Amino acid sequence: MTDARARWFLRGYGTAVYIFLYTPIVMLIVLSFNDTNSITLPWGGFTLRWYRALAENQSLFVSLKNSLTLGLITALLSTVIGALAAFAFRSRFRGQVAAMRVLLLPFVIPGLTIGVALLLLFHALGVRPGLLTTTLVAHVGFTLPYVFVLISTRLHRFDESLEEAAMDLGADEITTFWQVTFPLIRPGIVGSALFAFTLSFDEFIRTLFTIGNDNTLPIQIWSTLGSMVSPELNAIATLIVAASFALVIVGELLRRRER
Amino acid sequence: MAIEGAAARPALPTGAVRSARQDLLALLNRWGWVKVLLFLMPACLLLMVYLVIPIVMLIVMSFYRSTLFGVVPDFSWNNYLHFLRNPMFPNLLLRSIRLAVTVTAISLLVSYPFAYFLARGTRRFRTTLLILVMVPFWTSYLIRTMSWLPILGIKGLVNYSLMTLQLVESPVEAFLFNQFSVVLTLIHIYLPYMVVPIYLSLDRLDGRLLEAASDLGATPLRTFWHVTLPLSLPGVVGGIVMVFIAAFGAYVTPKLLGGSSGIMFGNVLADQYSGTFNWPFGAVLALIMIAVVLGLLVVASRFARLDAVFGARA
Amino acid sequence: MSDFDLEFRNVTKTFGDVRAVDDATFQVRRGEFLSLLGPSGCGKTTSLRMIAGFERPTSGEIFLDGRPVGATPPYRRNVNTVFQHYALFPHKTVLDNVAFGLRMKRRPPAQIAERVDRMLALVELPGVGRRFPHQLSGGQQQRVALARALINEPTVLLLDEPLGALDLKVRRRMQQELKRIHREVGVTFVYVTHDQEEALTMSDRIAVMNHGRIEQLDTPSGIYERPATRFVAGFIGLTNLLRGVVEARHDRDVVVRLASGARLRAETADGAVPGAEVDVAIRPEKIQMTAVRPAAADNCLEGHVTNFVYQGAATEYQVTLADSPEVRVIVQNIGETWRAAVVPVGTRVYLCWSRGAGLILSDAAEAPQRDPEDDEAAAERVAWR
Repeated sequence: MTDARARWFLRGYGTAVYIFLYTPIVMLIVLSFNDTNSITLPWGGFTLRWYRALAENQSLFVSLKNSLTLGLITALLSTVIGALAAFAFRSRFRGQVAAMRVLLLPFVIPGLTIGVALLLLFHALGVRPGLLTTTLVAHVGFTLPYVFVLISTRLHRFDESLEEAAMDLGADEITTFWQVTFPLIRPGIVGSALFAFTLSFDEFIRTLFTIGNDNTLPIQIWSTLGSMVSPELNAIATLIVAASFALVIVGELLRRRER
Repeated sequence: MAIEGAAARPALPTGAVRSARQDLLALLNRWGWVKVLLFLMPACLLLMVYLVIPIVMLIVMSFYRSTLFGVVPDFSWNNYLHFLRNPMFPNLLLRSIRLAVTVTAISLLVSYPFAYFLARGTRRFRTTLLILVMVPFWTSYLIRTMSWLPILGIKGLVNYSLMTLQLVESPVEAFLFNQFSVVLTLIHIYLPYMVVPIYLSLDRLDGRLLEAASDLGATPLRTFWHVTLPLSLPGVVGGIVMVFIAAFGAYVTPKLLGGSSGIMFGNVLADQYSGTFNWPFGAVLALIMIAVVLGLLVVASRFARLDAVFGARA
Repeated sequence: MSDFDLEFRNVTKTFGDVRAVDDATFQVRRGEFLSLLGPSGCGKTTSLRMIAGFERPTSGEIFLDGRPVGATPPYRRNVNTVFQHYALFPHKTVLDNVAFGLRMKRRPPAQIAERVDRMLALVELPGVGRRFPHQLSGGQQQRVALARALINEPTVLLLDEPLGALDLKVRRRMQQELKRIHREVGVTFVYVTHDQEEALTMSDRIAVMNHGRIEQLDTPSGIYERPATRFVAGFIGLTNLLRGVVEARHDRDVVVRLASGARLRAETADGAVPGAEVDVAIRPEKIQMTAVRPAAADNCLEGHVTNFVYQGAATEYQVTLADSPEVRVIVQNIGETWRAAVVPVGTRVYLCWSRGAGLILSDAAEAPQRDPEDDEAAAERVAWR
């Protein structure tokens, strides 16, 4: 196969994959304007009534507020804890490799088993499940390895001679951090926090087992799916996709600024 | 311009005033491990609560007994035996593994060329294309699962198209609520999990290596086989691990789209905590799930340094 | 205070099994330009980092201005470094970079502003204060790095291969710039490089290092003309080494007998005992190559030309002696045309040099350190300026 043909094949293939990736999402968006009572075809005409219904859905707003609050606090805690850990790993110490493996373990333990295990733990401790108690623990634990890896990578790429130069010029370790290190890795840290927020916002399975009577947005969507299936769901989904899109763009802009 | 001579040079501080800050820094410099301990403490505590102790609880609970009056602390292997004796459970486990393997394999086949296209193809739209891949990644898998309902259902897009093109006369039911829909949806949801690691390892590939191979007489196909593929192996292994774990541990997708034939291990596990309330047995199932995953990791670590794959720097 | 701005006393630094610096002892006088020269891994950068405070000696002590530095962190030593890749803070302007050290010392803003202007003028970069490092060329960045370090009036200025990343022409210019600034400012410079030509042109004294040890510490001409060990002789410039046995010794006058039976006369300052196996070291440019055997010459060896390499300003000839190794001779291309003057392959030639041009090298013993108080050295330092 010639080079040009190979390239065209790859391009066609790539396009096909994108179509595969986006058809369901596009359907979702289109159907959110569908003027029928089911979340599927046929097309009944263009309408905005599902969005209007969303705007009047009080419980939805409560869930949204819960998700946002939880997301922000998770992002904050997770980023601080993860950043501290990433800085710790700059030095060499005994048991470093083992510690790193433990830190990365949550990546590979299925969320369902974590959720179940946390349920057992909190039940045994007699802790009542709550949004900012048990669920928060689940979310921060879940997002921690992601934040840790992201910040670790940034730190690894960071030029240490800049810190040495600052110390050489009279700045002690704390001053060096604030004057040189932090300003230069700040975009990376903010990006990691943003990612942690998104992970927490979308998190479902661990939340299912650790949340009590409160609702996060995914939890509410899930229970809605179980009972009444209407294009209102499509509307929520569309809005969430739009928000994700915006967040990805922001994250990318941050990454650009860092260069 | 001459700099003042020795007389004007500041003498090194001898009995200089030492602030608390200087003392702290001197201490941390002297005992490096204090700083490490301090910085790792929060993460350690968190993981204790999030990971270590809960798993211990699982182990403990797996030996308890479930009676009509509730869960009774005990040390019995009953729950494990229950799993082995009833052929339904091992079968379910094997079926779930099989489904996960299917998802992983197809995902790999689909993703590799795509990742290759992203990494070594166009340069101009690279960022846009990457963003487009990431957007689904950043959207909840709940929503992405849900999004297949209007496509596969009897009134969905596929059936609609088939009927409009007059390829079938009545809607085909076989697209939804079975293993097929579960596998298809899982592939769709976790595609970025496979694409991203492979893309990263292909992106890191030094183009000059390919030029060297070509210079030494390798055709494009052989260059790919002998150079590109082995060097992208860490990414491939990483993707396989991530997708398998996600697929094997699936709960939402089989519950929503699996019908009765598409049930997976995770669903039965979750049932022990809602419908049946057999917590000890659920713990056994959870431990088995973790064991399978850890087994995969052990196997995978023989093919690639997993620490590096997941981003760790030793 | 002490005469010496910097002193190493038996400093050793080990990393695990590796001895990066092995029992180094030397003094650097006020205002001197000392180069640490050697191949990669010889310990020169490690030594520099120990002076700056980024590494601590495993044993031994470093003295700055007569006082031991002990465990003082880098930010409290009166030493500043020009880093290899400049390490300019990318998120700060040139002005903020250069002013950084003074701001750490909490000098008043007016004084800082004035000093920054003076510094930028010194390094010939007036008016770039508002720019960011990435907007400057390599040579300009290097000068900013220099200004940033010098503005703090350090006791010792450390330079870690600062010119490595620059093109040849820019590098040559910067070498002259650095010398000028060194003269103007009068601060002690400790300069690390692996480029011997750089060290030879810029330094007052050079410490040649190998595997953590200082092989020789001497003026540039001392290093070049009187290498103390085989390593130094081989590392600096080209040297021919002719192995033989000491036949006779009378004061500084030594007769060495080569394997081929030829006898060479050379001078030596230290113990070369009769019977000892030594090398006679003779630089290629110090050999006179003639077609006819000269009447009176201390040393003359017969051979024939086997190869030559045109080098522009000179020609390097390879000459095989009677039955021994090849000798390299460098002959300046003085003639009007090279073609006419070149000695063809196969020509029988005579290689001759005077007794004092050669040097006896035995196995590397303690490399004698030239005392900076030596008047000869002092005179040479003046000459270099």
